[in-house]
Amino acid sequence: MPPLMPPLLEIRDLHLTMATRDGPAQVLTGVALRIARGEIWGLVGESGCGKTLTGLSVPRLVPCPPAHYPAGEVRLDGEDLMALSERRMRALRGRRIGMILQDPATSLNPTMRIGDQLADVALAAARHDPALLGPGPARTAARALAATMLDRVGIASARQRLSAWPHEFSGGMRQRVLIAMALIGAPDLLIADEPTSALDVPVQAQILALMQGMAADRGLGMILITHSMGVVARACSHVAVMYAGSIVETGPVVEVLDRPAHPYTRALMAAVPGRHTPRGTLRALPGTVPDLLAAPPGCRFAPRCPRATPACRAARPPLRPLGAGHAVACAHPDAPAHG
Amino acid sequence: MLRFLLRRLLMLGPVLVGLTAIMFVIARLLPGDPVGLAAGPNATQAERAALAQEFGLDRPVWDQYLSYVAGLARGDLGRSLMTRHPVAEDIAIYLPATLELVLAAMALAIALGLPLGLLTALWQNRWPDRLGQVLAIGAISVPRFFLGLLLQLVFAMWLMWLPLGGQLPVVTLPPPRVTGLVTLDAALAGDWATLGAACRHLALPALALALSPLAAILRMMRASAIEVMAQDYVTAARALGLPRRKILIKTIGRNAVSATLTVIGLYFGWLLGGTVLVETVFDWPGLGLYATRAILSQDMMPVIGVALVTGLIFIAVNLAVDLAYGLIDPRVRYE
Amino acid sequence: MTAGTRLPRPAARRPRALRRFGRNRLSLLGAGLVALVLALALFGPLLAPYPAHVAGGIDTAARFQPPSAAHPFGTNELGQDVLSLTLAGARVSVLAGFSVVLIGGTTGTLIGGIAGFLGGWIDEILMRLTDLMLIVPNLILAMTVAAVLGPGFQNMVLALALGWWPGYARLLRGEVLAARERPHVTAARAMGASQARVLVRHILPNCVSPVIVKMSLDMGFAILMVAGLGFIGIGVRPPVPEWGTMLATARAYMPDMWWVAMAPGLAIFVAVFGFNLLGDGLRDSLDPRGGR
Repeated sequence: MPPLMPPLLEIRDLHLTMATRDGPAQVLTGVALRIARGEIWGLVGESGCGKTLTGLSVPRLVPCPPAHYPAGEVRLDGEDLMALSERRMRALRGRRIGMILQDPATSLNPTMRIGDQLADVALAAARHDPALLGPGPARTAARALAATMLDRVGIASARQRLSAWPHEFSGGMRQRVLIAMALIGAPDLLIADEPTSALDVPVQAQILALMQGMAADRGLGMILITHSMGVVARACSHVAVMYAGSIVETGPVVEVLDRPAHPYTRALMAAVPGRHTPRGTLRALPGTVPDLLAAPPGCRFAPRCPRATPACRAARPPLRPLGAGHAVACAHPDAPAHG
Repeated sequence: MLRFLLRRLLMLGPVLVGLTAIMFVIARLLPGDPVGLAAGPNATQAERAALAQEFGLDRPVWDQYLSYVAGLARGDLGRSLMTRHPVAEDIAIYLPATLELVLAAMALAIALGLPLGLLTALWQNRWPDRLGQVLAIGAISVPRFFLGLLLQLVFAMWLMWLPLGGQLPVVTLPPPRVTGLVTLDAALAGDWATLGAACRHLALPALALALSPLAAILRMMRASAIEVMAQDYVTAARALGLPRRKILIKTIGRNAVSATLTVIGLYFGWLLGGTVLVETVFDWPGLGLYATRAILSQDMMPVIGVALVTGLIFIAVNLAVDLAYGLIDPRVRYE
Repeated sequence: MTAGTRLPRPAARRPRALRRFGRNRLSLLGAGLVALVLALALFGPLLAPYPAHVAGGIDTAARFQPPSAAHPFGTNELGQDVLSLTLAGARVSVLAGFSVVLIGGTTGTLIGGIAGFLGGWIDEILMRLTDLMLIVPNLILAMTVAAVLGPGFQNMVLALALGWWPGYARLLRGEVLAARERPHVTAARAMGASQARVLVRHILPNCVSPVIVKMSLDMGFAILMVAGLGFIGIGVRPPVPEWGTMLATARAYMPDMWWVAMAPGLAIFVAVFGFNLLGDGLRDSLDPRGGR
């Protein structure tokens, strides 16, 4: 990629505070990410670390208030989304940025037929990109596109299934529908929040494979939010590890998984082998994500870190490059630098 | 679904019999002298006895009840001491006026209550919403008959925009009777002048009757819309770039309406039995006026008949609500 | 949350409910209005500027005087001060409304409690009866009974209470069925507590707050019904001032002597509004699930 061309998505120093009854909570503290077309990024961390809010912040879906962004930029092809009007932003949702929410059971409108829901998304996207539907009456074209997409995500006899209701579908099929809905507007960026967590294990693998295939076909950039290093290893090209509102380690999957530098990444990886361990448990790591209301200065991981020193509690370590795109925010990184 | 309908219809029989039993117990076990009232103060003992015998009031209560239930199967609701007409015929005359009033009021309440509820939910906790909430509680708190009097005072007496009461001007001939609803009959007859007059007469009583169901529907719609707005599928619809109007109506509106339907059904039945006060204020020739006159002369057959018919319509409306529930939410199964 | 397994103690919950209630300015307004109306019910006749009119005295020389400093709401067809009658009328409306809700609420609570607790055919019979009573139009039932019994405070209350209990029976039965399954009730049973004791000591106390919420929401409605009966002409006996009866009389002189209707109409509105605001606030703070 030529150096002057901006990346598909660039998040710079994103801060997010959330007003709670007990005061403002600093939920995101300087998140930074660069995603190019064709890359699948795993955004990984425990629940409550801010990965879902990072994902929702890109299409600006976090309700403000209670949320508030004191600083940061989210650039899509160089354009700062945080500065757009709500109207312009709405034109990008579904069209340039696709999104899949966590639970397929609750993400579909229960009172509309599958086909109508897909067609509505297609029609909305076509308002900003008329080429999407081609010639002819829009409604008919949208339904035809809906059938094509359903077929593409592997739903048999797609045309008949257009008139099915969401409750008639299994969890895995609903997730396929949601993938079709997220991709029907031909977006460049797909954000998927825990797309497989609510599914049975065999279905998880199918859905991951489907998403990988779709991303490769369309040259999508993708953010896959997950709590599982297993998913990252299976499906992603890059990984960003989040802890308590910021990214602590980032790089290509091969680099990071082979040479994890941050003690937190190691702990997450130690939780991988038990594919059936309940979500959210980190065997190697006692304690929980810290209280975001009274965040201490310094590294937020220090209270749980086996290697923490007084220096760690004094100042927050910045992300430092380790080479080969690998970077870590730790005063005492684990692996030696490349060389 | 057919089985569901059939079972509900089969249950009507016992309900009707139970309803008459309750009304009979109340009507007959309380002290009172309906025969004396109907015969008039100057009637002789023999005249009273004859009247009591003619209406079967000299027989034991259980015997009266049994023959009433037997008559019920034939659609016979007994005879009124006051009008000397069969109750069923009287009700056929008065019911359409009440239905017209209640339908107009509910249409108004639904047409305004649903969108306003949705809008105030969108403005949750901002000043239009707070104002709406206070106004809604206020609207529920206004006595209907006082509201009726105020409306008459302002619109009929001071501004003289609308008529004071009644269904049609005295000089206007009612349209040929088809449905019994004057507005509908006038429209069917193509008599636009009469239709206009009927609507002008309907406006004030319908408004007086509509205010509290409007407020109740608004509040219910707001509450369920707020609940729906927190659902994942609403976030998903926003994330997928659906236009705001579509999200509001198709996603939030549709899902919130189903919870509101119950309130609509309840209010419908409740209004039907509660038009009495508004009908009194506006001299509206409906069931309420009929029932009031019967009650004041302790003429029980019409009262029982009115209770039965309103009860029946109440059940029918709630059945319709249950069916509509299934139309809106496909997950509803009829068992 | 490790504290999640502990049973919630009602005592610990109450101050929070109180604080929630206090935060809501509208419920405070409601409480204020209710306090005002209650004060009128107690002391209304004493506050009346023309106590003689309250007692039934008339002043035919001063008929239909429009609002003035001496008579802020004017005088009626008998020359009585409308404000005085309205202030004194609070007593009948509030007392009747309260009695209806109390009698209806207690009866319904008992019926629903027994049905839910005993179950079986008793439950079946009581609930079928409740369902039937819910279908009977309330106002028509009350009018019928009141008309046959004749005018009078007690008759009016009885007539309204007769149709007032089914809602409470439904509510209580549901609450009791839910409460029966709670651990402390099962424990009490296992320790051999008698049926009656389990019901009175362990189950009913848990159902108090929904009943209170419903009663406060019903108060406004009961006042409306009392006024409605008065308006039809089936209420208390004439010399006793009552809002609905006053409105019915005022209606006859409507376009020209409009002021006669204003005070009683507004009084009904204020009283009902107060109770509705209060009930709403109570529901939000005692029953955060927001049931109906």
